[in-house]
Amino acid sequence: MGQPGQSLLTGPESTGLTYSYMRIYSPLVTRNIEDVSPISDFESAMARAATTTDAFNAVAEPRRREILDLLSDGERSVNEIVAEIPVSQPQVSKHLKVLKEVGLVRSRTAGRQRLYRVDPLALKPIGDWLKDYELMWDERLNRLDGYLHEMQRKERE
Amino acid sequence: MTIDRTGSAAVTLPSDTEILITRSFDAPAELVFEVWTTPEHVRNWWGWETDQMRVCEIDLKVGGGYRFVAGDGDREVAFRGVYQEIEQPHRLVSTEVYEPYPESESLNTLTLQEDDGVTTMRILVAHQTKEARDATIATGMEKGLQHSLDRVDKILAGELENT
Repeated sequence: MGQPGQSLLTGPESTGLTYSYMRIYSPLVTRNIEDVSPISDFESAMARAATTTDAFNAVAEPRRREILDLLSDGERSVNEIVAEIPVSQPQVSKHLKVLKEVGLVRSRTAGRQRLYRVDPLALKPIGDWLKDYELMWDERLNRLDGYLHEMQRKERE
Repeated sequence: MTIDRTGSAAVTLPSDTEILITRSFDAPAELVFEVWTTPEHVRNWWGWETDQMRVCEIDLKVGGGYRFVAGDGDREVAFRGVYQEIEQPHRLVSTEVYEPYPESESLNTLTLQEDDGVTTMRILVAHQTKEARDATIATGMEKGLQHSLDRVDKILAGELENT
């Protein structure tokens, strides 16, 4: 048991009512993959993997989430990404290839370099994943809301 | 005047291991706390529309436990935990375990803030790992799917013809 989180809710609530897609990548399959291969093999294996066919799998890899985080701040070239995270240029290129294949990342040529950016629409299924959880809570708390209304109505009568 | 707050629950992810659920109610914090922590009341709202509350035990003291079981036919969901901090009516800290996954214990901090008769509830669910947190969120997907399938069942049974 950790310390009961007395300071957990005291920070500024910058999250508001909407959530950022950049915070919700779901490594639904990460645990399984890590179970079968040591972390050292993990990165190169994942970068090579041709089995990554959808956004969920693509964002299951921590480095790819890091790259998406960077790109969500703005377009970047491969070299700019390499300068910001401790991953080699060939690895970054491989990750970008996977991200492009599933449509999470798009690229354009600008002069001699290629610039990569995030395609927010492709992240939608992952947003929907959180949405379902939200709906579950909404349903439960709507019932609580209805019950509170009923109780107060009875009290007034 | 009553505001329809249906659909206003918001879920955000403050960090890699946390989930924050926020919702406001037109009721004093004292009443919300009571309804949240008294079995006679919890039985009336906890769980899902189609579920029967089968077990609802609350021992509201620091170190005391709770256990909620709701079900529909063969399907059953069971949660339990232990109260860690109780500051009625503004704060309640407890552990929570979804019984099929006993290793995925979270620490839940419920706060109630009352302003002009409106109480804002915040539930911060802190997991030990990102994987455990994500697995919890994935239960929503199962539930959402289940809900849709239930609707399909009802439509097929003609129950929704007039709704």
